[in-house]
Amino acid sequence: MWSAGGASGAGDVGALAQQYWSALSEAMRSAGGTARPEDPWKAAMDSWSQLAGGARRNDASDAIERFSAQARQWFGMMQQVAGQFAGRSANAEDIAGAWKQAMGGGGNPFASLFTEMSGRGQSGFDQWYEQAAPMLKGMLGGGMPGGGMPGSGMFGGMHQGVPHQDAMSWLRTPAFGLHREHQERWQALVEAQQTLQQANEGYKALMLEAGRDAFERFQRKLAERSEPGRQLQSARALFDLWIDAAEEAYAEIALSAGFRKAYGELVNAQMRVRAGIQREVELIGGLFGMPGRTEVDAAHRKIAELERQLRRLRDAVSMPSTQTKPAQTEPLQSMPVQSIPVQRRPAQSRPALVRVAKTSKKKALAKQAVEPKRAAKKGLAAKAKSSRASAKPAVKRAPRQAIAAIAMPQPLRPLSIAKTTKRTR
Amino acid sequence: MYTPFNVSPEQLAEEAAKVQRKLGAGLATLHALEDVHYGVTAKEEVWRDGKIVLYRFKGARAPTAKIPMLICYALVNRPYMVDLQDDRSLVKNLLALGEDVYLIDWGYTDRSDRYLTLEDYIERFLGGAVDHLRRTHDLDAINLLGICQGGAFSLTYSALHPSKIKNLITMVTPVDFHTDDNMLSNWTRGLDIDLFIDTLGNVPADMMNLCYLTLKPYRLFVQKYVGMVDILDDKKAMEDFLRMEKWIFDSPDQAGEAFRQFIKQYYQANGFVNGGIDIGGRAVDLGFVDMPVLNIYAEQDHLVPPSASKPMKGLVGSKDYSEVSFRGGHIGIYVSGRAQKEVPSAIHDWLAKRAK
Repeated sequence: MWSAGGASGAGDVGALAQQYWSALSEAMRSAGGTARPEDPWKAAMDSWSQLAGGARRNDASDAIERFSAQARQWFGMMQQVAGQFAGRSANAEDIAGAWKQAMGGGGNPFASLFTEMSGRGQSGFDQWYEQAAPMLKGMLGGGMPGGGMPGSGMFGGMHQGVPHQDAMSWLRTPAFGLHREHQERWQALVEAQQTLQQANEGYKALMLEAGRDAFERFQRKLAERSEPGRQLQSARALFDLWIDAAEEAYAEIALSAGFRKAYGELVNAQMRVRAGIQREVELIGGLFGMPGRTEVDAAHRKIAELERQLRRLRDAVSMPSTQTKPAQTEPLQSMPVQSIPVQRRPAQSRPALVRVAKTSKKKALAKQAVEPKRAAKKGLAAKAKSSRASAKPAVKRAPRQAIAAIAMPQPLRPLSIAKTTKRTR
Repeated sequence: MYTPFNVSPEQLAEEAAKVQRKLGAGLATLHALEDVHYGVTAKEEVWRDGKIVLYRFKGARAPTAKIPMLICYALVNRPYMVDLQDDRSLVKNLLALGEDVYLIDWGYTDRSDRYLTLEDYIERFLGGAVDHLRRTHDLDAINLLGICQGGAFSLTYSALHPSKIKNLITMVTPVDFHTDDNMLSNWTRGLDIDLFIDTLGNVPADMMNLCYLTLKPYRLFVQKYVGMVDILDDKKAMEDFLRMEKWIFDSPDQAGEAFRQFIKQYYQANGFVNGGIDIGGRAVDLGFVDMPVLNIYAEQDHLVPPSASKPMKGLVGSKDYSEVSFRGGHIGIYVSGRAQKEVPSAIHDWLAKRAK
């Protein structure tokens, strides 16, 4: 690294730094590391990571891994670029150019970064899709893209060996007959894949734009430092300046309407593909008698709705104006759920005040509604309470006899309602 | 014209040597590190509904405040951020000032929670905790401190049940979701959220974390870890760093239905401003938030920009509205050194004036 720059300063830096490097690498070798002198920074970080790995605790391991990955790449790079310009005069364009070159000639730095981010234990769509791809390929006949048909995979022997273009054509034909439902699903899935590819391209184009802008900003920022007192004093400062430029460029794109559209299209396309694959998996599972997600979700939905209805009834029971004894706790299965006349609050029972759409009017009217409370503070407590109660949504309660027959499951024990609370306002 | 990069070979060599020394010292530091702990203040469970638990914190001395304070945190991260460590604890500092502090812990969501709605979170869980405190303290109304999404929940609850909240404090709470500098909002507005939730069920925590990282990708995924070299020789700083890492990535999945409703009604429809938030059949109107309100926002907040929080003033019905602007970011407002001095005392002093 130290001699890689080719500039006059780089060799001097290498000579001066080598003594520090030697000491460190020798220490690592003696501790069992495998540092390779020909690639000092990367080798040093590899060795360091191995040694640090032995010191890792659970809480530290992820952070150490992230640090090692970033330090391996960036410390070497910033030192390599800085080494080219240490001790000599250079303009912003030269430095920015060298930085860009060190980052692989420009390319698409944001796309690369996101690939790296989502590849490190994060469950991004790309990782999920990578896992699902072999199965999808099998389902759609060993050729996505590249030939084959849905029927040549696990769905039975239709259209085996049909070339890719013909397959695409077939997938667009109207479906009928015994397999029409299956064909329509597969058609939709393939279309979703194509849409995803297009959405990916749209998103990558924006990231490419952000990357180009980042390099331009970096050069401009460097130019701004071309005066005494503002010059960069370290390789790390050079790196930090790049981060500032990259973040500014990214933020401008990410806040744009174009990004909103591209991001929405990408995520929506990802979800359509994912939903399609999940649907196929569930159907396959069904062939083997396995319960699917739909069944499990349906059960969870029923439980959640039941608990919600019970809570509403409990709240109705515990309203101060209708205080009564808590219901007896009985086994849930004995509860006559269907006979409970649960009444949702009808829209017309809400006060007109809260349905006013315009914010300004809404606020003015709301203030009218709360005005009685302020009057209460001036000594008109009883009147205010009455007025305020009328401003709140009215709640229709279930008939008391029906409520008394409800058994409350453990998480929904009725509130103790015997107390008369003390108002402290 | 000067060169923008003014470094001698000797300086560069010394910089490299410094990094190498830090790396060397870091090995010793890492060997000496224990697993980090968080949540330093003693607490007891006082109420529970399924996974949702209400805790009461125990200070070194009995609280002097007569009205309890319930902290309502966001669903998207774990609430121990408010009590992260001994020298970074909003809870500890509030207790020291005499407040009686409770916290609602939403727990870790699983598949069985997929159909929990905002009505469940706000009326059943938050409302259940509020009612429990009203009952056990023999009060009509308590103090509510909502943070981030928990602040939006607290505002919603206060609008629906103004008589149950004596004072409302909101921290880094979004109200206007459609301001130009709100990146998260910009991204959500192009989403087909129905398709998203119907496909995913619950929203995986890793997906949420990845989304947050991509708000500032180079700063949060590259610069932060490169900068870790500076503290490799400092055991305390490394422990603090790791504790924060733990919190950042220790995220619960998001219950699908509640997430769908939150994105639709709050982010996409901007319901606090435009109306249209419906919780269990009841419309939410911030005009009904008539109790005293203290709104604390962070000036450098990239998740909830000040522009998203400050419109609260014009929307709530309260005539007693106060704002505190904190110089820091979304996380710094709980854990920075300045926050420890400024935020708890600002809250306590504001409450004290309204306790008379």
